[in-house]
Amino acid sequence: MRAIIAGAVALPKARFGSVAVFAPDEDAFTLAVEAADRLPGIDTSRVETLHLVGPLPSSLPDAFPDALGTRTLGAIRYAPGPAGLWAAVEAANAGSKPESIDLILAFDPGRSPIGSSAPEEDTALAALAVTEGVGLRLTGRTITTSSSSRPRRSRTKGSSRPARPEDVSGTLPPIWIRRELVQTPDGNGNEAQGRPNLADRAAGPGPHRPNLLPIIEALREIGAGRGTPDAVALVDPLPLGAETVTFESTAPIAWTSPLEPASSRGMQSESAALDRTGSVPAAISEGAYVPRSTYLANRPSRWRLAAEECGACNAISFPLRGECRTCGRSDRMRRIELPRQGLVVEASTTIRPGAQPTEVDHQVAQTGPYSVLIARAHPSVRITVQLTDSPAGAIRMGDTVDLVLRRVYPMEGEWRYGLKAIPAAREGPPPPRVPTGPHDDPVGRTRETPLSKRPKGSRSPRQAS
Amino acid sequence: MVGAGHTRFGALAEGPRALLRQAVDAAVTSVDRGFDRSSIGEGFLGTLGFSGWQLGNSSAILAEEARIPRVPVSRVENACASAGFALRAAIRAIESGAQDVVLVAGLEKMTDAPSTRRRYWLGVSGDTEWERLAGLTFAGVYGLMASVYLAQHHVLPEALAEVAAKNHAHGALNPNAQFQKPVTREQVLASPFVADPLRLLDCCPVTDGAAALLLAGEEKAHAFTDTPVYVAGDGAGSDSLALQDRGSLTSLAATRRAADEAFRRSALDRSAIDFLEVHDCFTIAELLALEDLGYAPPGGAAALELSGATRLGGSRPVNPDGGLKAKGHPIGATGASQAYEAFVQLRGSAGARQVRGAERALTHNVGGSGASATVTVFTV
Repeated sequence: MRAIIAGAVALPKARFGSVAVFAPDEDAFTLAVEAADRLPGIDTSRVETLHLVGPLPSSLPDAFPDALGTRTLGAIRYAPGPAGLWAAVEAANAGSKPESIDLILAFDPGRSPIGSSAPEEDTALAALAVTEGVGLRLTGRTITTSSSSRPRRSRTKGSSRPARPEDVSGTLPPIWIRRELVQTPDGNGNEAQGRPNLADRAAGPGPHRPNLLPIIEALREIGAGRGTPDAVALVDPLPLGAETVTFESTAPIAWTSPLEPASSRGMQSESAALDRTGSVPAAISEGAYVPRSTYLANRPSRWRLAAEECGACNAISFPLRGECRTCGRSDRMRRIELPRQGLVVEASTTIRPGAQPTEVDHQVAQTGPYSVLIARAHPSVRITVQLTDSPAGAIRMGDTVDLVLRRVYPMEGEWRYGLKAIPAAREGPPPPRVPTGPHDDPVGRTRETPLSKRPKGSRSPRQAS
Repeated sequence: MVGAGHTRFGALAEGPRALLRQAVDAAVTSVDRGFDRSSIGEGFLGTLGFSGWQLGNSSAILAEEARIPRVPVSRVENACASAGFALRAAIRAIESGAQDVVLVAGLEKMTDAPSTRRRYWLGVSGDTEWERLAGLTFAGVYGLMASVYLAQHHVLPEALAEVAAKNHAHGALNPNAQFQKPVTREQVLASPFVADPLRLLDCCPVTDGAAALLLAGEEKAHAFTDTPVYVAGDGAGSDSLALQDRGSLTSLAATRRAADEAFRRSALDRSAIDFLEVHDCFTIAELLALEDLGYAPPGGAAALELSGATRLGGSRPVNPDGGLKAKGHPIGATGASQAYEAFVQLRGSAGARQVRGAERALTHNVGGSGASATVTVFTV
């Protein structure tokens, strides 16, 4: 039996009034990556199959392999909401390889249609990692036909029962929802390939705008071992009733969530709040040009600090170039990732309006001055990044920062993404890895792109200044 | 160097062709015994092509405007060091024996572009993918360098302000300078931030202008003048395009290498130089230049500036023409403008800004934030 072993939530960093909204450089994609990065103890580079629940711009699923540091990722898309999540969990449970990790990214698009002028609210992403193990089963699903009153959106704390059991009028067999929401390549709902394709349904805003927060809250309670740990029911409002999905667990799920800290963050300007997923600023006709192919080729380095360690001279080459930048050899290059947490800031400046390159004019018009930092990722590697989520000037030399994936600039009708800096988390080192079965270590050793948490000291002559 | 010409620097009505023509005509006129353009065997044009008025093949425009229509001309582009490298190419052409007389010109027309277009072009010479698209133009890159310099050496912004105040004082004596009004340190420190810790008056302006140089082999030079200015030695160097990839954030390896080569070729000691023309696109850049050229220890340039030694009348004036800061910085013209200053100073014709008794000068031209640099030593 496969099990959900970890979950994480990422919430937007800005507030508009009482609701959480995207910061100007955030969107569904960056939140999805953040949620995946927060999965406690999960090495996302081991993920083989990705299940995307909810609408994402059609170009973005292809970007997840670089964002998660794996090149063997397939992405399957599902309709928004609990039913889509349910379908994703079932598909993940039916994963073909016992030892593989399936990753479910559930995106709540908020309840304002994309493109409207109202800020999206309550946007959240949940990431669930599913792999071989015991501890969690997914059991029956119920759906109400009553529309008498608006069902409560979260369960009563400590209760293992559906929040509105009186609304439940029957239990549908799993295939019902699968037929409704999962279209397989042959189009008739059978499970021959076990790989649904819902791109059409997921592409646009539908009439049903679910809110995933109750699901997230419930799963966190499973993770926290609160209440009755072996069953949690979730109820989400539908136009004509409620859908209930029940998760049962016999073991805790490791969870991280920024739910509390997010609510205390500063309020953004209205214009910042209104800049959301659906809009890419008009193409900038006079931007310095990085061709899309170059951008794509550099994504592993731009997004995860992918670098190469030369087995001949031990020097680190960053960004990836296929050849040691110190000794010129290419036959002993080993791919690594430099740490994206705890980088020490070596230089900092604040760019005032008018001193920015034209590519970020749109950002400056919304949020004004911004800081740019040079931070050290390795004894021989520095990276130049913007500061985000903090006022300009909030970070000084000697401070430590973490790097997060965010929008950086628009080009040719799409956003391009890169790393930005946020003040380093204060909790200290990340939590220990959750054992994921007997295949964990061999996979980790033979993998081509091991995560380098503790880079070795470099003997590169470039260190000398 | 047998002739040198210089346009006014500033926001000018003339277009790029007219500026080039003015500078070349002035250089021709400056040749004491007269100059026949047909003696020019080759030309080199330093220009970035700011605003895209002629993106490619602008070398042909120098051939046209200098009225040397069949003479080969190459455009040399190393950002702000374009003319420095054009001069280097000319020196090699003569040194190799391939040419007897060579024309060098530098040109930029910057002020007539709309502000958005200007901001686009101001950052095109930095690292595009890793610096510019992280939100940096050159003010930002030099702001980063300044932040480290001030913190590392416990230097107050006063030293940056002194560089600006000194160069404005010098510029006030230069009729070609864009800014001919003195400013005080206090005014610099009260100007708005552009890229912390750099303020508006720490930054060079956007400038139109051109300069032209006529070089001849040593044996030919006296056919043109009794008082040529000699190139005693030149040097150049390169470094990583992006600041993040450099060994140090407060020292330009390209400058250090260029200076070492120039002094080796000239067989002169640093102490022999009477005045310096250094690349002060931002005030911090002059401090770094003095240290990388070997005139101050790391962190020591601040005290040197504050001592007054770098002012006209001081022991070794720096940027007597006002520097990029006050004279202006038409990107591709700056390297030629610096050589022009060496020419007039060493011939004693610099007027109110004359460095008394100047016999040896050093010019220092930097591309971008230090990805390339040239150093040239001139003597009488």
